[in-house]
Amino acid sequence: MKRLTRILIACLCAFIGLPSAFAATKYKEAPVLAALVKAGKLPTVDKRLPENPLVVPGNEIGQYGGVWRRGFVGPSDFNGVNRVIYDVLARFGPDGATIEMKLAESVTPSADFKTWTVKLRKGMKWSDGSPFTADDIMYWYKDVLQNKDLVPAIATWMLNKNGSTVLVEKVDGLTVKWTYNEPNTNFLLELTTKDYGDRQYPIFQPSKYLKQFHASYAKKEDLEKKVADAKFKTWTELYANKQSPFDNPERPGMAAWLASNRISEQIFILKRNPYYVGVDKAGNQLPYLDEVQIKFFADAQALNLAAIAGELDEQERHINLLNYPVLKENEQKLGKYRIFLWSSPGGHDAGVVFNQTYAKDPELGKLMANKDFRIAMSLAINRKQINESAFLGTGQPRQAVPKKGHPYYPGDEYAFKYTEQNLAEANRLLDSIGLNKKDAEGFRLFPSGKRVVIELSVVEVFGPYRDIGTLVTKDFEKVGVKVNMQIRERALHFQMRQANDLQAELWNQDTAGFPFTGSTKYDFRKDLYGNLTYGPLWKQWYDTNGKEGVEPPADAKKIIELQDKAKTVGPAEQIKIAQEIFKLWVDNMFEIGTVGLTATDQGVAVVNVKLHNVPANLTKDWPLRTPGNGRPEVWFFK
Amino acid sequence: MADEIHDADSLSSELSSKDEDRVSVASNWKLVWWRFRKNRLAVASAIVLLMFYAVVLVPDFFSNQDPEATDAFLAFIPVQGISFFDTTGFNPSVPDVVGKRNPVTLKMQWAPDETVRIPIGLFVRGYKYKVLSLFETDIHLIDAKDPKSKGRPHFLGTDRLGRDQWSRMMFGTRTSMTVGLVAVGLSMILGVFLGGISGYFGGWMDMVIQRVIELLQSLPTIPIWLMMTAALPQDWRPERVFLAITIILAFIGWTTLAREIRGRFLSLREEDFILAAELAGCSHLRIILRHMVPAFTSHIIAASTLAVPVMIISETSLSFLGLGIRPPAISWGVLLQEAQNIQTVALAPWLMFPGLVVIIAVLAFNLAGDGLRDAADPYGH
Amino acid sequence: MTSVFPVSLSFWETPRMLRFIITRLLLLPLLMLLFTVVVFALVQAPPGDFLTSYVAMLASSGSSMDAAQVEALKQQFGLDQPVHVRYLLWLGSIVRGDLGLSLEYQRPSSELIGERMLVTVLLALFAFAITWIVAIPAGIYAAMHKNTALDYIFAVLNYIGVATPNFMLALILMWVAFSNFGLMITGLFSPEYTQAPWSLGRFIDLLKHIWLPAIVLGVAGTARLTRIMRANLLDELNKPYVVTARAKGMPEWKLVTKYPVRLALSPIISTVGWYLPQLFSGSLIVATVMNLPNIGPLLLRSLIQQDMYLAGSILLIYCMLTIVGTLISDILLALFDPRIQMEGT
Repeated sequence: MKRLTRILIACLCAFIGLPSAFAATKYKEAPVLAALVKAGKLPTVDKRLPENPLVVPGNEIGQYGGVWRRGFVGPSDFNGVNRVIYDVLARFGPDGATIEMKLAESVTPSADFKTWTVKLRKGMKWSDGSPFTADDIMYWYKDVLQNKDLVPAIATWMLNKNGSTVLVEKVDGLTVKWTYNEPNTNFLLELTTKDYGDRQYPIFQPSKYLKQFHASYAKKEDLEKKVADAKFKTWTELYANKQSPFDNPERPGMAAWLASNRISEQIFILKRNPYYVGVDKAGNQLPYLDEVQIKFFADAQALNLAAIAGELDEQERHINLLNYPVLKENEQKLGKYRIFLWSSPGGHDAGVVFNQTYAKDPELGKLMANKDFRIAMSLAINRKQINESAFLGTGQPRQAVPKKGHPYYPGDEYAFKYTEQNLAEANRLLDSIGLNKKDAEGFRLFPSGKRVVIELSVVEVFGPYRDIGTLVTKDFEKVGVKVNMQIRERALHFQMRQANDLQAELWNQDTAGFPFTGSTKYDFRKDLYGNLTYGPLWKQWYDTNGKEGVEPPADAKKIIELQDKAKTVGPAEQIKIAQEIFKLWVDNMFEIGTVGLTATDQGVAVVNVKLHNVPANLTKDWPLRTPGNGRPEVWFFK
Repeated sequence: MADEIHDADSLSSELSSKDEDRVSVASNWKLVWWRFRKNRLAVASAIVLLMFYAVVLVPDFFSNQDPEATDAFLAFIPVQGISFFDTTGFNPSVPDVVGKRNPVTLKMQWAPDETVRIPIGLFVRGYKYKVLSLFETDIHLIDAKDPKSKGRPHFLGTDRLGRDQWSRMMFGTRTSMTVGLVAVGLSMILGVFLGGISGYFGGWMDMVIQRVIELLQSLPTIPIWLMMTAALPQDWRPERVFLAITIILAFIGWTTLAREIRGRFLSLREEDFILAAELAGCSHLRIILRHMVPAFTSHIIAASTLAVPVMIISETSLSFLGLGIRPPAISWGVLLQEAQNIQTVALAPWLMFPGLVVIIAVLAFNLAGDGLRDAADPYGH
Repeated sequence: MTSVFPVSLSFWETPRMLRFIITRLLLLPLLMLLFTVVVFALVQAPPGDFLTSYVAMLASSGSSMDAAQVEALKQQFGLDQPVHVRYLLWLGSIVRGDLGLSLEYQRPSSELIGERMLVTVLLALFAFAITWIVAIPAGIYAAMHKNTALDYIFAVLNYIGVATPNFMLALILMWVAFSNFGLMITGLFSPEYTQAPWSLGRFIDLLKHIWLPAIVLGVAGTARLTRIMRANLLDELNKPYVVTARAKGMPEWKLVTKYPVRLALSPIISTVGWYLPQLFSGSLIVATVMNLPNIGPLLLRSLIQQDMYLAGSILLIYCMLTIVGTLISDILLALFDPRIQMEGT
């Protein structure tokens, strides 16, 4: 804002006259903080907020006070806390599609999308009162990202195509510039996930505080003593611990609520940050809620029971969709809470994937690489039954594309292709590809005479996967394909996936809303461990430039081309590319979707009736850090 | 009950002199049987156990549907009562049910369709199955009279996948009872063998085996089970897991039996008839097998019968934690584990029926075992 | 003291007794060493390690990590060493009293265990107390009124109590308490007391919550103890001195409590030491279901997550408790019943 305009408005305010006690300050604050200011322990709220604070919209203007009770299942559930605080430079809003600024004031690309300029808010402060400046980002760039002890290998978003590290430079005290060798239109999208998610080092750190734990800055003897006192073995362990906002309550932070104890306690308590950068439309400093208390439950059942009894104020994580009837009955009986159903940006909640490059049994691999086989299998599935039993009938049979209304939606034809159960057509297709011989029990045989047996690997992670696996197995057997369902635990399944050992899997890599970033399944060059198993050897083909692995089919290669192109074009073009990718995806049945748009994965939100400003409709997903994108800092009790 | 003392004298004192002769020439087994017979509770329990094992042998006969048949549209059907009489006289039947999902709470609500009833009968023809893999038949104990009828009787309701609980119960009984029996059998073999060596030969062998037993008994049972079953690869086929669980249970359980047997051997070793056998030149093996073992077989059987329920509860606990026998295999523990969640306890409590069955089975084993023990040992324990 | 229980304190001087205790105490460290090997092997047995489960778990919540980031974590967790090195490191630190770092909690195992130890012990003690308070009088009553209706009822209840798996009870009772009485019985403390330091208020709060878990835990033990008490007492009541006292006109209840009860109790007391470890390990499943801040759920989690130092340490503690418990029980047995042979027990 121009300086002159600001002076004029200030004068105007002075003329209008603010008779209230708050006349002295432009903004208002929580009573607990006001008391501290009066006692001289805190600077005034105007001094604590940046000059251009983040204005957070909400349905109502709220009031201060209250404790938000939540539940989690242990320290390894830290991503649940990351979702609540959503501590990033830029974030998504409730619609799951628009990105808004948070800590950053602006993020501007150059015309060719090679250079991105991030401008911070003037006057932003860490929770200990020290200024948040470009130095805190540069510290991350120079001393954390490029420190081989702390970060052995640099994450892909910070690498150029030739493997060199992306250049990050300080422009001035509030501005930092990223320079890529190639155009990168995904930069803003990447920024929204750069918090402490997955325990990765965030891109802004309280450098002044953390330098004392860093080998490049602290005196050797001091550091070694600190390491020994904390019972660690190396300084990197100490640094990781001191940097973690969940393990070290003394670490200054920027989030609305900060840890006051450790995540390994029975109740993990986050308390309001007096320096939080957000205000509401009426100039009240946020957050409204004083505290977030996250209670440890050893067992998800106990957590659900607590939610049913109305002991949690807002909880969607670990709430089992199948408890919906009990929740609903008690909603009416107790009158303590209401239930919102939040939906994902699209995709499906359980998908069957056939490994098209399965090498251990060439005959089987060839079969699964046959598009008609996969189409037949998709037609064999009774999605209505899956919807009924696993999702209480709340879902929609669909393929892995975003939902209607999302800019990337490719159209109804593709969303519902091959989703109507058609056993006759499935049988016909299977007969036509050479599986027309059957044995005495009615199971199809390969041309070689061997029975077709496929192992379906299932991990019981998202909702009732075991049940879905059972139903799918029965459906496949109805068209003569014998399937052995194998329940595995997660780690083993992932290892097998990486080793190209899985034949077929039931999984949900639901990134339909974000096909270009993260561990997207729509790019098989991504790390196999956390991706789908539809063509592991294709990745190898790409990695070795064609020397090893299996050459991907034309459509798969086309998807890769489109992926690369998407990084270099603007948002309008990206929409068209995304739609094309989804069309290719469905046409080829790289993944067979079953039922989607259910509230299974963190979609059933139990909300205290007294808690206001919680969106009734919210798009939920991990990249959106739901409930973070619901803007918890404007939630309040009344 | 455990404290009632029977002995040969009391037995004979209640008989006439003619029967007294019978008693004095009766074999050990006959005596045991007569004493056992007097304990009505134990006899009743034994009958219950026999019924259980009948189910183990031919589960298909007792069930009336494929335990794996899923139909999501038949989920959570509650137990429907059997009505025995209607306007035409004695005509047992079960009402057909109509289901609707409550639009607000999304709960499946079933109401009996009074217009349609499914007549049921005993020894009815149903789906085909093989008895002990020998011969094929299609007779079931209790089923709908008309095999083609659209509505099926669900005597214990259905679960969330629409699977018939009655049939699943039968197959679960087979697995759980077998695991119990086999595990105890293995323990018995281990226990007799090692306890016998320990007690009969004494010396350093005794010392070593004793220390091993102490070591094993010092391990806290549940945590060790947990660890051993957690170590089982998750992708083993159910049969292999089954075998492994049985071995693990036996591995921990043989020590108590071994100790008892060792005690018996120690005391028997001093008996005159053993001395006589030794002097007569019998080999060790012959003495053990021919003279000592028969003397305490009844005790072993009694102790084993009391050990089975422990195995059953162990298997149930392990499966309950998801570490023992896992789906798609069916056992009581698996059934209980699938019922161990809020939606079942709150909305479908009939799915917890296997718990009752576990209690009955364990009770029966305990009572029968107690009766056996009292009958086998005339001087109390 | 000597007139209440038939024990002769001079037994402490008997060389046999001393030898027995000393041998057992000497064997203790050897046993524990063996246990460390067994325990560590079992924790390592499942394929993969903490990191693989960790990464897999993260990936399934939609997070994405590439190989580089996984490597960084591997270093962070110290998992890049071979197995035997890790075992020796662990053993070495145990000897020094350092139970290792929990990978999941990123805190020393000893801290985590210490926090929960008190609750574990309290829960076991409460279950134990409830067991005794209920079982002994019930057993006495049943023995005195043998074969009456109430006796049979007790008998049936006893059998059912022994036969019921306690974890099943836990969830059912929790739900019944909630839906019928509006009581929420998860955890051991109300929110205000959970993190507070110990005080009278906190203790009373604990009492308010602990009765249900203690009952669930103690059901089987109560049943068993009642039966044994009844059996022992019946044995005593058939003895001549009782008949004499009765003939001499002593009131029944005084007659029973003066000697027979004490005599009936003595073999039971000897089982105390063996019973406590049972309670510790038995509470594992119940504690998980009822969400109690007990060592049990900690062990279960660490086993599933392969948090090896934590799992191994807890298991060692269980082993030690069991051995010590058995030793105490053996000593008590020998103390209270001089007829027991100590060799070859």
